[in-house]
Amino acid sequence: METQTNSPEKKKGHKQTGPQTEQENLKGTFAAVLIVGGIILLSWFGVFGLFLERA
Amino acid sequence: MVIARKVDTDRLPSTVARPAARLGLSYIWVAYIAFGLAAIAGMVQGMVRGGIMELPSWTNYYQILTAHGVLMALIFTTFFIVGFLLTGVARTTGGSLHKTALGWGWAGWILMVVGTLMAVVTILMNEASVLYTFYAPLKASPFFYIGAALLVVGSWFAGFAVFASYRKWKKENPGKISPLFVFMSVTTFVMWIIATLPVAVEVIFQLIPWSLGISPTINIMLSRTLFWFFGHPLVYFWLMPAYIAWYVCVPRIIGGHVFSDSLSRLAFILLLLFSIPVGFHHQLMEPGISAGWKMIHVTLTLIVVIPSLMTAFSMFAIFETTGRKKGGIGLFGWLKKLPWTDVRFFAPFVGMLFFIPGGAGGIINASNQINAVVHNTIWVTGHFHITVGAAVALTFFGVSFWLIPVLTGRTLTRTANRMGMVQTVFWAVGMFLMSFAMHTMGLSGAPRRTDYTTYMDHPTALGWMDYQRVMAFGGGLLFVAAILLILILVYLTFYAPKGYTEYPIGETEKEQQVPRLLERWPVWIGLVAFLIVMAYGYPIMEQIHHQAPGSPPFKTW
Repeated sequence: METQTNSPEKKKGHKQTGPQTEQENLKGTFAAVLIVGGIILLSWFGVFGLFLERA
Repeated sequence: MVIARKVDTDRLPSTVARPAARLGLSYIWVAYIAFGLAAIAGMVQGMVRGGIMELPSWTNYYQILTAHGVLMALIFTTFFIVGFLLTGVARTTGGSLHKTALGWGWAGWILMVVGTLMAVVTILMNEASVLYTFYAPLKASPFFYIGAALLVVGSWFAGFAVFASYRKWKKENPGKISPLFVFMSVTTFVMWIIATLPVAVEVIFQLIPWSLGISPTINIMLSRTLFWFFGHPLVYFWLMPAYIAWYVCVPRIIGGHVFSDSLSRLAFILLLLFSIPVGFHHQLMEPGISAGWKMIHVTLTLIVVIPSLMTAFSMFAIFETTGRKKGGIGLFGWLKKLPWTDVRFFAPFVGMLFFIPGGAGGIINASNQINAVVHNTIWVTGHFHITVGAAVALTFFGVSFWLIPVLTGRTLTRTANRMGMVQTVFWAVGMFLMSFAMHTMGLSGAPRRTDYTTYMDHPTALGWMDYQRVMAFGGGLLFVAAILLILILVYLTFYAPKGYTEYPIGETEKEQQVPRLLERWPVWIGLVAFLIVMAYGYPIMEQIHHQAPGSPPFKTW
């Protein structure tokens, strides 16, 4: 693996674990995307219900 | 995996040099002139469809509908997108566009303006009331189609301007990964050029000869397939620049950072791959395409859920990390810390909220069986109003509030910001009322693309009338918001105080490693080509070899 990064973390030998630091609290993000997923599922099954009713 | 370092765009000038600014402003003002005319047509159309007013005898509903659709969905969006992306590319590649890029940019502007004028004049002369989808066998004047072709070719020239800037930057920065804004702009234009090739074929080889009378009939199935080959990626051509503003500009505006450089680039690559070979989900009710091919397109369409949810995740993550740094606590306490009174954030944020039901509706539309519930109903009209008319348009408005001051060397004053907030609220409430009514009526079967009618007082149709009035009221609020927007933008262009305004370009908080594979264009373009051949090759061949009798032209107005 060829690396061309000049990342200061890399030079200090720190392990790059992801886009943000390990301490980042993303609980709200997790909850928010679950809500978005819930809206998608509810809408889909709502219209699917109409389809079944009319089929 | 080969990884490379990104360039530090903070060291670059945070504004745009005058020649590029002049070019960008020229695109953006043509966009807003089209927007203003489209808003008038939209308001009239809403009132007529709502049963509130009747048109004079010298015009008709379908002429107004065509004007609204073409000016808003094709001309406003395309001109704005080119203006935004060209100036953003200038900003992130050193502050200016070089001579070649400027040449392509101006050549594109001239072609697009000529094409727009040809299309608008033919619509005004009532020679092109074919709606913005210009489906055959409705026949417009050949000048309408030639105008549309010039608009598309002009936008390619604008794409060449982006590619020329990108190539120059890569030469000057060997071994480095391009700035995120540039990468996303290149991806958008690669997608756009590939997607517009089939519609160019449709226009040049089918519609123009047919409308000139050279070919007596047209292969309807093929023309619709070529249209939707372009028609769905067109939606992504609107969305991807809005995503660029969300991924790159909004983090800087709220005082935060880009969450993940690689994730953002990967989302764009997935959009490039999966926005094109999916057009049959617009043709699910058409008999000329077999169920198997429709299933392949539906499957590929649903893959777009992945980059869309990656985008939703990234946005929430940007907001949460920024809000928490500012002291936000609890599960959603960080939301309170976001700059709610800054229209540069507020307008795109409201657009993002609209995109949640918009995306959910899109999945419904693309699902084979339940498409039968909503197909050709006014639900679809409601759907694209909350996607392009709210999510995309509000983002473009939010961008305009800072981009025009950047390009004119002026500032967004507190009063203009406040007026922008009011404008956003009017637009959002109007769009909510109008699209809610459209979605509801659509579910109970109200057709789209129809003038006002009570269907001989049929009880089902009479049940739609209250919703139609709500729709018309929403349209009225949207018109007020449109006038307000034009007034604010005129102020920002000519009258706002002179001063420095930053072109906001977000950066990741720390240096991040970016897989260089993400910038290997031959790999991605090759994959796009493979997916397109797989999804479209055989069905198109079949439509050419086993074509049904062609249709002569019809002029129904």
